[in-house]
Amino acid sequence: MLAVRDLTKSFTGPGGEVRALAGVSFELAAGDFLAVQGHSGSGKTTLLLACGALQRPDSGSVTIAGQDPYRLGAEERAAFRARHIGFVFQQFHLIPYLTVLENVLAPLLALNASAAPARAMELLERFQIQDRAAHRPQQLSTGERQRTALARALLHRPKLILADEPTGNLDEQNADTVLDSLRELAKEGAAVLMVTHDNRLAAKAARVLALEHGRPKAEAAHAH
Amino acid sequence: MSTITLVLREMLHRRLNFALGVLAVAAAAACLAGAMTRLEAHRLRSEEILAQRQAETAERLKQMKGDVRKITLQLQFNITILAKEQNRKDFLINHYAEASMPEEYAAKLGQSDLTAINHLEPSLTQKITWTEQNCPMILTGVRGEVPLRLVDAKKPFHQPVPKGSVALGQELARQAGVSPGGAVKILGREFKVAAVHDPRGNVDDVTAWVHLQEAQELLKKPGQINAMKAMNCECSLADLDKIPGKIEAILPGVQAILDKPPADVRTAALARAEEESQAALAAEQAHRERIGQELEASAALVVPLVGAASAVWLAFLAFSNVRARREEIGILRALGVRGAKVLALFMLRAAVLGVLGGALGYALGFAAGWWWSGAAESGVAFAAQRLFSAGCLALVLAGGPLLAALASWLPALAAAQRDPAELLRADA
Ligand SMILES: Nc1ncnc2c1ncn2[C@@H]1O[C@H](COP(=O)(O)OP(=O)(O)OP(=O)(O)O)[C@@H](O)[C@H]1O
Ligand SMILES: [Mg+2]
Repeated sequence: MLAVRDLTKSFTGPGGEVRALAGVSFELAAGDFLAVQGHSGSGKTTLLLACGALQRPDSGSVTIAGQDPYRLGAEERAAFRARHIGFVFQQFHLIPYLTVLENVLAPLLALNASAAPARAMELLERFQIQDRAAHRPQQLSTGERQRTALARALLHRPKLILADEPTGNLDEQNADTVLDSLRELAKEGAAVLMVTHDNRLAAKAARVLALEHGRPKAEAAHAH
Repeated sequence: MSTITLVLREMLHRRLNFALGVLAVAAAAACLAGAMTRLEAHRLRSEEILAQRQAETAERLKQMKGDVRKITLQLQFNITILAKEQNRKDFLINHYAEASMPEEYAAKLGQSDLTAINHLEPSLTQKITWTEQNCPMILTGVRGEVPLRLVDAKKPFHQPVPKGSVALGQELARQAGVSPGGAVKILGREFKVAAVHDPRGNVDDVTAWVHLQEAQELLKKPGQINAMKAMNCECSLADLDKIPGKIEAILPGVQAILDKPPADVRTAALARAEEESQAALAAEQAHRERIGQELEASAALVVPLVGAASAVWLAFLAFSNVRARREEIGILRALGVRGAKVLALFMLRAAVLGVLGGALGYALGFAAGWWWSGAAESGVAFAAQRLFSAGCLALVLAGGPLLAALASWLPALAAAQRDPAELLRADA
């Protein structure tokens, strides 16, 4: 589903060049669940954005469903994202003037799905924010926002799920709900890439990719 | 979740920016609508004033013309026709012409196309010495009126004198001591006194009228006349001066002298009044046009100025709106919404903003223009529906969205083309 080869990405800041990714390669098949771990600033978000067809790497290649999205034009790449990728941002990035339900339904602006409202309500129920459906993001707790962002990413059942710290602000019980959902999706055939600091959760992932200064430290496979 | 829901939610969310944008469009639209309404009111008022002035002038002229017409109708326009070679001064001094012309001239003129003449009297007049009484007298031969081809016979102006008869002026009758029914000898020929005229106090009192043919014989001028009088000529005053020329064209051997009627003075006055009215009307029109041009000139200055200020203001608002929405744009793009659709969201917003601003601006501008013209045109306010212009409304309803769309096009396009990751980071 996802193949990443020798990804590098550098940023030029005021203090000179920052190498966010310095040669990362891995593959993720349908049904795989990979946890990405690393210190703050180790390049996790950068990796996710590059895998999500959102940020072009300096070198290396990203192949999703057999296609390199960076070979596409910007408009086609957007359509490609809509079709294949569900992204959960570290900062949630909810649209402030839309309700929770409307935020979850926002991918409809890019895609048509007739069953979407029912699916959206189902997701809200699964993440226990159904009674927040009519609230605005600023009326939500951080954890509720996080779950809203996750529900939005899952609306159209993407084949590749990229979640940047989806459980960072959740209590253990809610974190488990989220993790179970992601694992369930993986079981249903999605490829899941999840950034987490939580070793407890990482331990539940099938594989772990540890990043250090933009390089993989080790990729450990957990046996279940 | 539809595009329009998103656009409406955003408008409500950023009310201030949206309201300021509506006001910016409204300001430009109000300016345009106000100016157009004012100009339309001015145009209508000008039309009214000019129509009123025109009607007044026409009424006055009609009255004057009626007066002049009444006067001129009562006048006789007489024409004296003499032989061409006759010296006019001598004729005026002597009251008769020395030069003579053929009698057929009268018939020829009678058969001509001239319709202005109602009566035509040929005559032969000469000052002679009345040998029988040893005193001067005027002998006039008349033969009655010449039939006119194009004019129905009218009651003759003078009764013709039958052959062998004479009509005598008062002085002559007294000199000879005769009365009607008596007889008198003139140049050896005896005439029956048919009539003795009452004293007239002019040359008629020393004139004897006999039949033309007998006068020709006595004066030894067979077949000759020396004057024709055309009387009661009727024609428009304007054509009057042309009649002598027409007569002279028909009869190249004559000269025609017109007795100009005193109505001429009134005609001239009428013409002058007409000219003055026209000039006053033209001046009024010019005055109204000048005001109109001043209004247009100030509109031509103010409307583009306000329009440009509104455009700058709108561009600033659009820029700040796009800036505030970078994260949103990033989210939508990350979710897979195409850049074109993101741009469409902004254009839809601009369209709603422009239509609202245009409608509001038209209403305000129309009201202001209406009030202004009422105040400016000496308190005369037009019915609002007369000033309402569907074209102007359509213009601002189309122009408002266009202006708003143009103002937000570039910032929205620039944002829609940026990398989503960059946009998301910008607000993070
Ligand atoms: N757009 C950018 N411009 C400049 N530097 C950037 C940019 N994006 C990331 N970086 C830098 O790249 C490095 C990796 O950043 P990244 O966001 O991937 O870290 P991270 O592992 O997700 O950290 P965290 O756990 O805190 O979220 C950091 O040092 C960051 O400062
Ligand atoms: Mg991060």
